[in-house]
Amino acid sequence: MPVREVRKRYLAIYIDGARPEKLDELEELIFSSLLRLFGEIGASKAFFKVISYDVGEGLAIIRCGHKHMGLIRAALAAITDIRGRPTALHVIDVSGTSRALRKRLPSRLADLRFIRGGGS
Amino acid sequence: MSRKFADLHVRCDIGPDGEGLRSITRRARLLGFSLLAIPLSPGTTKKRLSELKAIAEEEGIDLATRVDLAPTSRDELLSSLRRLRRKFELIGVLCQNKRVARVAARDRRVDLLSFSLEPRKRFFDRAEAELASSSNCALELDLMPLLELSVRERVRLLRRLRAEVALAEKGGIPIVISSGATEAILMRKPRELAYLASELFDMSLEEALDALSKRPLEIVERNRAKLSPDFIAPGIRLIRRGRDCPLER
Repeated sequence: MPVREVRKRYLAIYIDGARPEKLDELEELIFSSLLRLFGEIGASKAFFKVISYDVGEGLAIIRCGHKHMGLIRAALAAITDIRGRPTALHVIDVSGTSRALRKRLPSRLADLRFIRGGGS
Repeated sequence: MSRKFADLHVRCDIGPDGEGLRSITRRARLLGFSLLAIPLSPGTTKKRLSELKAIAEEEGIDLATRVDLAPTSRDELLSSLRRLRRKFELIGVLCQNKRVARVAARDRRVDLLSFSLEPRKRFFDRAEAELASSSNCALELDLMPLLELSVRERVRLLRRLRAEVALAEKGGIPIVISSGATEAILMRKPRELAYLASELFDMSLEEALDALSKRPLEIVERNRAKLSPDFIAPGIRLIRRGRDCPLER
């Protein structure tokens, strides 16, 4: 059976606080954090891409390489502001396929409503 | 069994009416923590401590009472320890000079050793590690303040922190990872903190997770046992009182 050269992980992210206005801005935000912490070599290993981003809900799905997911999760935790306004990017779920992640997302969103409601 | 996570250093303002604490504990629970410690003023009354614990418990969080000391001399440290040890469940010492660092590391009443963000003012070297390994002190590393430094400062500090982590691991000194968050929005999920610590300090993910769960919980549990009225000496505790205890056979 053929095996993929790079196994992937899909991460669902909830953005709490200030949000990027577009997908490109979110990608740039994560990429700059990755670059700041791990340099160009680390960033190239992460194999990262923003797949989708819903500004209204503050939800994004990003893809990264399975072996270097730690780099991405560390880079996400290190983001504290967007243009000086405080923000936090929380990983709410991780999956090996985007389809499984989207299937599980509604139940994860139910938990998130509480964060939105009262976590300030 | 799933892990229980603890953040022993949330430096947010809890406000006079406890609403700040309510919001922080609610957030902490949603992020996945079950135990939280917020540094309080040494003058906090026992009544106030119980009130704060009750508020946290309502939100489903176990609050450990903590005081942070930043003594400038050995005598100041010892006098604060004498005064506060029986009152707070956790005592953290910010070691501002080598003399204080050495005394704090060998004193069993100190739970957490922390150091300045300035690499030259960090005194966790081999001698400090040896002293800490014979007492029960843990090395505390706050993550969020690291992110507020300039790139140059962070690079210098990270180099130093990696060496300290390696030294602590070699000497069997427990490492406790805390957020050090000054605002609620700076709090992160425990796993995200573990990934950050693991990547920044060259720790394995398992060790980083232990530093956020097993190690802090052990410290709190040990101190609560010591503060309990049933505690007699290390390894000896009262298990029953009353007339039904047979004294002789």
